[in-house]
Amino acid sequence: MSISDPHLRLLKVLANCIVPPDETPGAGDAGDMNYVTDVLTGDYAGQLDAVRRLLAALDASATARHQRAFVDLDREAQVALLGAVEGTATFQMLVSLIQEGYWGSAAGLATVGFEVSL
Amino acid sequence: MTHYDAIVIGAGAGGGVAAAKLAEAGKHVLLLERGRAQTFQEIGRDLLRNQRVNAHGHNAGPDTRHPRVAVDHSGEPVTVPPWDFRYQANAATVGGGTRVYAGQAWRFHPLDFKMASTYGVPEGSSLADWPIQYEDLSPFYEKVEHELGVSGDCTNMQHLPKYARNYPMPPVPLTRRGELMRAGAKSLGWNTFPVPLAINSQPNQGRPACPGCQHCVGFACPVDAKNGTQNTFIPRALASGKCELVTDMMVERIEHVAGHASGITYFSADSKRVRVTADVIVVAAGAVECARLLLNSGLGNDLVGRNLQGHVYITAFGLLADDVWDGIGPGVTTATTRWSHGNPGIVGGGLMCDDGIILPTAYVRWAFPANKRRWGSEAKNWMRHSYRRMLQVLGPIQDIPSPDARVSIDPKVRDHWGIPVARLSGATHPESIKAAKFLHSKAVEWLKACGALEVWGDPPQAPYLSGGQHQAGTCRMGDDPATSVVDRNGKLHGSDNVYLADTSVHVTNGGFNPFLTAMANSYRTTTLLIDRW
Repeated sequence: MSISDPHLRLLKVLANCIVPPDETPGAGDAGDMNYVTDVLTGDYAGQLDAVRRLLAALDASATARHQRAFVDLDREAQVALLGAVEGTATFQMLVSLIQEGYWGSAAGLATVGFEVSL
Repeated sequence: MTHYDAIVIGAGAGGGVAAAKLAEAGKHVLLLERGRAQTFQEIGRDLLRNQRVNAHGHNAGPDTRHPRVAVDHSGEPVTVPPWDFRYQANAATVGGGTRVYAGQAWRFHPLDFKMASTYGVPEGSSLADWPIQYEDLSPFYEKVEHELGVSGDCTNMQHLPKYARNYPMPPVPLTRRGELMRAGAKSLGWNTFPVPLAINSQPNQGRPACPGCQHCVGFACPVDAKNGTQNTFIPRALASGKCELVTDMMVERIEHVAGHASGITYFSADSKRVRVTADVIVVAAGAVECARLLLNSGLGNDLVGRNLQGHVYITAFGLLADDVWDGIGPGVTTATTRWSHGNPGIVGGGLMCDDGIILPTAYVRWAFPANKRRWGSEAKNWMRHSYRRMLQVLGPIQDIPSPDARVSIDPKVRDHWGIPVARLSGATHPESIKAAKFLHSKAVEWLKACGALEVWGDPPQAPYLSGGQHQAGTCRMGDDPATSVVDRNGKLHGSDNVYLADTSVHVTNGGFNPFLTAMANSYRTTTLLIDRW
């Protein structure tokens, strides 16, 4: 059970839609993607096919609307396409994992001002 | 084969105290723990896999060799890993939950011991009085507070009889959030006081004071200022020269004839079956594993495993205008017991307090408002804006027990060693949820009185199985073997030498964190056992 490199690239782009970069990095650049992929190939391995289908659907809709792969769109266009899958359980599950992975990362801690003294 | 005076099964809150008392009385003790002794570095600081944030892993066991089966609402049994919420996990390491806990060192309220006579028994509930009362435990609470090391101040604890001795250490530092919580409660006319904590507010027993770090609950302490049995009672037991500690093992069964136990069999770290004998067996493996072991051993009556309870928790959050973060851990400073009892139309109640510093990983998981979009720039900005402006009220609500909330033995699934595993089923009584909704409304009132501009978080809506780190009740004590599993002194009905010495014997679990009561009662049980030996 593994996640292919193209799917990992797509997941990172998706992560930057879920927690976007602004004055601090986004989840695809700085979040704990190992946490996301560990859970998707471990506890949630039974949902991995559904994740692959969701990623394929995003690419299909990007191609249909913009004649480009999802990862090659600008973020505004990517976010617009996510509206169609936002209500799915698979998307919500990914939101939870990506959010958790981000707010446990150094970038996430810096964003909220969680300062560690020891 | 080695023969011991006593075998203590489980090196957590209750077992650690029992081992120390027995060994210091000169008894030759074997203390068994399925987990290992873990260093601070081994437990680590993974913000996503700890004993607090643990949806997909934790840092102090149990490991995957120990599955359980949970029966969901549809009645289907599901095998669950130790970090699944349905597993009802507590830590499995030397010290048990006390290695990584928040350390809220509460005595139960006197009325917590007489719930049935105070409120009557709700239909479908197994609510009952304890056979012992607050006054029976009070001297042992005091001994544990001083021997474990608790920081606090009892002078304003108006819900309890006057203490013979105050806590051995003053309270941990007050935070800005705590100051606001106290002011808010005062404006409502509610009494507050410092939360008693098993954390050093000053150097104690050769270990330093709490340095105020931000990772307390769910983790080990970097300077060993948090007091559990792993750095107090268990080292005392070992220092006596009369106690042997064996870890990374698993007890298979208690061997007995007609209720008289001769010893146990267990699997060692290299999975070899070992048989040891003893005059007395003390079981303190947590409410789930105690019941499992008795059931797998064919010991105890039909009530073993029933009345599993923990606490129904409420939490609410409030957003303030200003940044109130000061980063001073542990962060638990202020409690009220105004709503522990005497609530109109409610059975019981619970304490409410601020919580330790909440990890951002926990904040996004538990605190994200249900009415906001959980992703995109708005979500990130909400986290950024609210995290340091937030107040939290948290409280364990008295779990009104149900006989259907239970531990039984799964007929199919076995663990790594081939031992049948625990099956968990049922749910708390609906009165627990009714109480939680009432207390939640009081939490909201408190936050608004603190100046919260916005308050969010919902109370639980439907009964669920409660156990987890506060698991209790599966071997309840009582004078009548028809309605209880052990007698008032912890001895198993129908046996002359098997004792239980942890939260399993709690008839009800109070509206408070239960470890201090487990330790005090283990202290009492073993003191009486030694006196009669």
